[in-house]
Parts: sequence; structure tokens; C-alpha cells
Amino acid sequence: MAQEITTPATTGTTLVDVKGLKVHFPIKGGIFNRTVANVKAVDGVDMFIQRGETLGLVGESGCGKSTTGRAILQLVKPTEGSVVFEGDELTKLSPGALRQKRARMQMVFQDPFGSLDPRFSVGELVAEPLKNFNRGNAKEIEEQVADLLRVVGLNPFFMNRFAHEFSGGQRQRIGIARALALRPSLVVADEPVSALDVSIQAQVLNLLQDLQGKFGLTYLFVAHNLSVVKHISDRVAVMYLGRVVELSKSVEMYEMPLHPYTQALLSAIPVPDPEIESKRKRIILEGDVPSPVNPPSGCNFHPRCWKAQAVCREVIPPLEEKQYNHYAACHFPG
Amino acid sequence: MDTKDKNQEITGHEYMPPDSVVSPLQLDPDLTVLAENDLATALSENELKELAEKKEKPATPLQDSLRRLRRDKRAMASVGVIGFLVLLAIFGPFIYQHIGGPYDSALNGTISPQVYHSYYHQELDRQDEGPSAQYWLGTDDLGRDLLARLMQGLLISISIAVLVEVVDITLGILIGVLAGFHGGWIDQVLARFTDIIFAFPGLLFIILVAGIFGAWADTHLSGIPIIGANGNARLLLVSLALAFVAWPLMARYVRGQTLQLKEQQFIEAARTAGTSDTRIILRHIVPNLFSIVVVAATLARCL
Amino acid sequence: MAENLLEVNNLKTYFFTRSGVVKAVDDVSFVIKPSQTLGIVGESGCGKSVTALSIMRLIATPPGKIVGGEINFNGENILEKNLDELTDLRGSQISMIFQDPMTSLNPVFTVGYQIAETVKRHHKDMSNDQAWKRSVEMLDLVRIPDAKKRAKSYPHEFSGGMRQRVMIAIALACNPKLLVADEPTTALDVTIQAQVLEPMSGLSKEFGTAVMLITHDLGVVAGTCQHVNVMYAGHVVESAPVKQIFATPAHPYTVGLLRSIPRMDEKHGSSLTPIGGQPPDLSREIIGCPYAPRCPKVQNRCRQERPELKPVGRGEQVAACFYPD
Repeated sequence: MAQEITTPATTGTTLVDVKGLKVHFPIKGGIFNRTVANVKAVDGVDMFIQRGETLGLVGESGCGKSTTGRAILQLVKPTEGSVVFEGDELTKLSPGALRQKRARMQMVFQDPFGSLDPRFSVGELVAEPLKNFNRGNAKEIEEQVADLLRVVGLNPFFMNRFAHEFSGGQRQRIGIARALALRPSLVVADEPVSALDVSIQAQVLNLLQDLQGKFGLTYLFVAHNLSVVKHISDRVAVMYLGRVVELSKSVEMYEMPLHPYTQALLSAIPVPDPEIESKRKRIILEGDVPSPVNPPSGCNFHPRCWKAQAVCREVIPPLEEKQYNHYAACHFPG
Repeated sequence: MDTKDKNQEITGHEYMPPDSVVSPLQLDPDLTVLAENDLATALSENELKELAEKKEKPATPLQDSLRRLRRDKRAMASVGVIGFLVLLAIFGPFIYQHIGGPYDSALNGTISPQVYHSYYHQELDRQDEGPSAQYWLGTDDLGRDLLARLMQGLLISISIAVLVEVVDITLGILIGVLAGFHGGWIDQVLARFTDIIFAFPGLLFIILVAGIFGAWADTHLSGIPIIGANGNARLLLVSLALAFVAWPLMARYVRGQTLQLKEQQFIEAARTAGTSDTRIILRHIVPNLFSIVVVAATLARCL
Repeated sequence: MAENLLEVNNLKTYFFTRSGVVKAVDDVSFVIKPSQTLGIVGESGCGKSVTALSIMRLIATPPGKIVGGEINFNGENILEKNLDELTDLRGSQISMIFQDPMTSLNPVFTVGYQIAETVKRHHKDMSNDQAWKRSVEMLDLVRIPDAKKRAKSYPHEFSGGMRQRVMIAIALACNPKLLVADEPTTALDVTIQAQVLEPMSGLSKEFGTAVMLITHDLGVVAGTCQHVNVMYAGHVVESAPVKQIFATPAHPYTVGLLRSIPRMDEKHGSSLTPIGGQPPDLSREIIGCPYAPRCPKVQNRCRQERPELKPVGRGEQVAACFYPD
């Protein structure tokens, strides 16, 4: 990914700048426990997130979108590449400095059941980050917790209850309150609604949007559901097998996708309208996503791509600005 | 989405949310959208109070399991039996020695129950007797009171068990958590050490330790007040030997559970919240090990 | 169309748990006509999976029990059949595919063998060769590339989407009259989802198999089904041909569901209207309409009596609501 992406001067300032990000997980084997292969979960991701925007990161399972989100927050150590957040190179920070930085970047997790310690009460859960950063004495923290719970639409009355007494949507609200406690600037939301029922999803999506304005948040919204991502994002990045294949304003992406993978992905999404459904042509991709242990050479989408030429097998297409603010990594876009 | 659909429907109520936990009554006026949406589940102020009174203190997971234990009749009966045995072991000998009048022994002269109800006194002309008013459970082949010996034996067994478990649990958790959480050389050393212990016959080890160091312990340790004479030093020695062969198994269980917990999202969530490793271990990992430690500690050891 | 293939009348399936009786399916009635695709939509806990399991008589007892109603398949009441008759029926007449394709196949047998086994169980006179041929043919029909060779592969050599297609092949191998598909694509990615749905609806059309498709994804329903039942809290609250459900939804819950999902074809910046609150606790007695606490159009009457399914004046559309849209 040679091409460097620069922030367009006309839009907001860059909050996060990711360059050449790679996360490889070693597979150990043999008698001496040597690394025999690498799972290339993230294999050269470039992107930037602007202050105040919502960047959607979509892709199918195993494409590395969640790992990218975690690598940006340094929850997974990147193998290579740089992540600059608020002017600091996160990959080079000492553990102590990184811990301080955590107050500025938070995460909302996918699993409303697994992401809350079952032995903590709701109040303790929301207070944990505040205590870690010594934001006031016991009473002040309790007041802050009550405020936070109110903000996410929960009654502080239930502060002493345990997470298992709440439903999925309510638990997700607790998770959001926790993420907001330290007033971060960046929130990485990793599939925040995919474990929730449809009618509850909308509640949480609306809440996230409300809070963005209120707290001046920047979101990296990681999800596999393209309709949800389209709804909430200003810009969208599509990932395939460890790389960003397309990045643009969400309206443009959905109206005029440039990368063949994006086109196939968009055509596969069922629309809840039988009239439209009966008329739509689907691009059905052949085969399955290749293993990230042995990704195909060149453009890693070429074995499933109907436009593939010889060059696609050999040369990795860089993520380039094909149209104004519309980036795609394809030799034959459009 | 409802990947958990089937579970939910089958186990039904356990997964159902408590009705209307969200109340918009005290909501921020800015969030009118939310408030409106949640109006449907609104509770009146009275209903809230009622709810509060009904369930004054929310149950912690521990309280919850204790409550379930109390409801289980068989478990409660077992607790009763164990409690009785413990009380018997601690207070039984003392009480028993104050029951019964003086006894005119042909061999020992007149002796009080404090003597003939002690576990070591031999009344050699009363060997192998059945239960009687004087000897409630009879005597053994040296004319010693069986009930007194039974209670003494109980005390020894219980103190060994407690000692072993204390050492076992402490060492097991400490080393298991470190190995599981940090991996690396601690993990490697633990793994190899456990292998050795598993391969070595534990019973033989304990007999060897008791045989080799027994005499030494008797002479050197019985001077320490809390241990005292009467072979307690040997007891301590055996307990430690037992704990020594027991803890690696506990450490392995704990390590395995720690590895699993480490992958849980709430650990990652804690890290995101800026929680330090020490605090993650103490506040998030160790409390969640409780159940596995209880199970592992009660499992019969392969000795 | 001919008479109904499946008639479910007043089905009640309850679960008897420690915390009370959970009325997972409470008085549900619907019909499936031959070669019709019926979609059942609803959120988790609405009783859609339990309905499917009841039809298959696969409710785990205890804690579950079918306490009332009848399920007539081809005019015979399934609830009165004994175990032998049921085993004959399952697989040959009614078959089912589940959400999780990973655990539905036996890992120690080749997929070809597993299909052939199913075929032979219901066609005792069939030779091994014939059965094997049939399984290769089925794999080919569900578009497994190189079916002849792949029949000798084990389940772990297949990806999730292919495994689900193998499940469809097994399910359709004996030409059943009804296929019950419980969230067949929920565990799959969108591009793979299409690979599974296309052969499923294509084959059911070709073989004249009726399909009961259970899903929470309204998009899947719109593309695949002819008729839709919307379930809420153990009841069918609305039932209509697919076009009417989406064009003129009558029950406020259906309306709410449609408004609360983000759509691919929506305008940018449009906002969602979520349904407030939570689904009710089914172990408690529900008086009145189960949706009343969340309904924007709720009236006093809704809290007192339960509305029955009634025609709302648009052909086959029925809704259980006193004040339908």
C-alpha cells in the first residue's frame, strides 16, 4: 500500500491516522514451538478518521475489521505500521503512557453479556474507569455514575443491580455509559448492535447518534451489517481479507461503489421491500473467503472477481483516490 | 440479532429481562427522543418504590448461590452433617471427658473420666468391649475408649484437610493465575513441575517425607508453642507434603480457567477502561475463579 | 390451490421452569399451502423457533410441553402420532434445517454418506449405489462445485455456507413436502447468505416443497417468502401476503419493526423510530394485548382484553389489533 492518504484540507482535522497497519498472529507448531505460519488478520490497512465523524468499517467475518479496531486502540499489538492519535504515535508509547491515553479512546463491545464482569454491580462497572483515573472521591464518582446512567437512558435507581438482571439492550447502555465515563474523544464501537434484537437495535443506534453530538465524539463503527453502517456513518471503509478495499463518503459508496467486492456485497443485502427484491439482480460471488494464512497473490480478491486480469494476480492494487474523496484499491474500478 | 434465540426460548424465563428496568422518569430532558421511546415501560413512582421494597438488596452472585444452597434440602442436610462432625471434633473430647463418675480400675486405681475418656489411656483388662455406659462405643484391643479415639481421629483428619486446602488454594491460585495471565517462563516451569508431580506417586512421596523427616520434625518443631508435642509436628509435616503434591493440580485448573477468563470481553473492557494488570487480576480474575476453585478443592485427589 | 398442507390450530407450547410457566407459544394458528413459502418473523423469545420445534415434535420434555391445539399435516394430527410414525414422517415428509451448520453435521462421516444414509432410511429398497448417486445429485443441485469429488469430503473441509447447503441437500434428499428452516442464514455472511437462499428457494420451487422460513431478518422475508406471519410474545399478531406486510402493515408492532430497521435504500440522514421498552416476561400472566405496554396507539381496551386475529379488509391480511392501521 504505497500510496499515502492525506487528509483533505477542506474537512475536519484528522483525529486518527493509520498507516500500513499490520497485525499477524503467529501459528506455533512443531516440537520447538516455532512459528510455522502467520494469520494475516490485518495486512496493510491505511485510513484516517476525522474529528467528529463516524467512520464505518464493514466487511464479512474474518476480514480483520475487529482486529483493526483493536489494533488502533492498542488492545492487540500491531506487527507493523503506525497509529497516530491526537498527535501521539500510539505504537511507540510506554505502557504507562498508553494507560493514560486510554482515557481519551474507549470501546463499546459487541457482546452485552460477556463484556460486563458478572461480579460487578452496574454502579461499580461504570465507576471502574473513573476510579482508575482518580476522577474524584467516592461521592463525586457516585454522582458522575448517576449522571452517566441517566444520559444513556437508565435509571440510577438500579445502580446496585447486577448486569445479569438487565436485558441485552440495557446492558449495551451500561457499556456505553462506561465508555463515556472518561469523556473520550474516540470511541471504537465493535458490532455494538449485532447481538441485539431488531427493535432494540434502533434504540441503541439512536442513543449513539444522540451522544455523538452531545459529547463531541468521533466513532469508528465496526459492523458487518451494511444497512446499519450506512445509517450511522458519514464515511465508510470496506475491508476484505485484511485490507481496506474502498473508502468514501457513505452516500457515494452506496450509490456508486467502485470496487467489485463492494458491488457484490451491496447487491447481496436483502432489502425489506418485496417490490424491490423481486426486481433486483444479485451478484453472487463464487466460493468463499480465502484463508488469511495464505492470502492470494496480488489483489487478494482476484480469485472471486469477475473482472480479474493477469495484472490482478501479480500486483497489489494500492488504495488510491479514484474520484474526489473516494478511494478504492482496484486495477479496474467502476 | 437472535443467535441465542433457541436458548432463550427453551430456558424461557431465566433469560427474560426484568420487566421495565428502564424508567424515563428521571431522564435528562435533552434526551426526549429516548424518553418518549421508553415511556412505554414507564413505572409510576409508587411502583418503583414497591419494587425497591420487594427487592431491597440486590443479590450478589455469592448471595444468589447461597440462597439456592439454602433451598436445596439435600445440600442443607449435608452441611448439617459436616457441621456436626466439626463441632464433635472440636468440643466432643472436652465434653466427653466430663461425663461419667470416677472408676475403680483394677490396674490403675481410681481414675476420673478425664483419664479413662482420653483417647490414649489404656485399660488393659477391658479390651475389645462392646458399647457400655462407661465406654459409649466400646474399647479397642488395648482397652482404649473408641469414641474418644474416633473424635480425636476426626480432629486430625479435619485439621489436615483444612491445612492442606489452605496451602493448596493459596499456592494454586497464586501460581495458576500468574502462569495463566502472563504465560512465559512461569507457565513453562509450572507445566513441567506439574508433569513431574503427576508422574511421581504421591502417596509414596508422603510416606517418604514422613519417614525421613518425621523424627527430625518431632524433635525440632514440637518446641514451637502453637505446634506443641503429641506428634502434631508430624501432622504438620504430612499436611505440607500432601499440599505439596496437591497444589500443582489446583494451579492447572486455575491456569486453565484464567486463560479462559483472559479471553472474556470484560477483561478487555477493563483494560480499555485503563485498569492496571494487578487490578485486573485481583478484581476481575480472582473473584471469577471462585467456582472452579471450590469444585477443584472438593475433588478427590488421586493419592 | 389445493387444500392446506399444514394446519396449526390453537397450538400452545409451554415451558415449566423454576420461575414459572413460560408460555412460549400461546394459541397460535396458521396454515401452509402446498409449495408455499411462509415466513415467520419476530424477535428472540417471540416463540418462532418453538413453533417450528413443536411441528417437528422436537420440544425437549421436560421442561417444555405441547399443552394444547393440533398440528394437522396432510390431514393427520402430528400430535397424536407415536414415535415410530414420527421418525417415518421426519426426513421423508417434513425436514428441518437449523441455524448452526457447524454442529448439524456429524464430523466423522463424509457428507455424501450422510446424505445417502438419510435417503436409505426412507427408501429401504434403494441400493447403496443408487443412494450414493442421489447424494451426488443433491450436492450438485445445491451448487456444490465438483459434487462427485466433494461427496467424499468430511464436514470440516467445507465452509459455513457450503455446510448449510449440504444441510439443505440432506433435507431435500427425500423430496419432503415441507421444509422447516430455522434461521438458516443467521450465522452466515451476507454474500454467503445469498448462496444459501438462492438454492433453497429455487429447489423448493422445483420440487414443490413448502417452506416455513423462520427469521428475524425482514429483508430475507421480502426476498424469499410469499406469506408472512409476524409473531410477538408467543402470539401471531399479523399474517398477510408478503407484499401487504411491507406495503400496508396493519399491526402497530409490524409497523414499529419496519420503522426501526435501517434500510439500504433509505435516504441519508433519515432517523430510525425505535420501539421503546422490552418484550414482556412470558412467565407472567399477560392481560390484554401483549404489545400494549410498547404500543404508541394503546387504548384502555387493549390493556383489558386480548385482540383476536381479524381480517383488516385487505384480502388475506389479518391482524390481532383493535385499532389496526
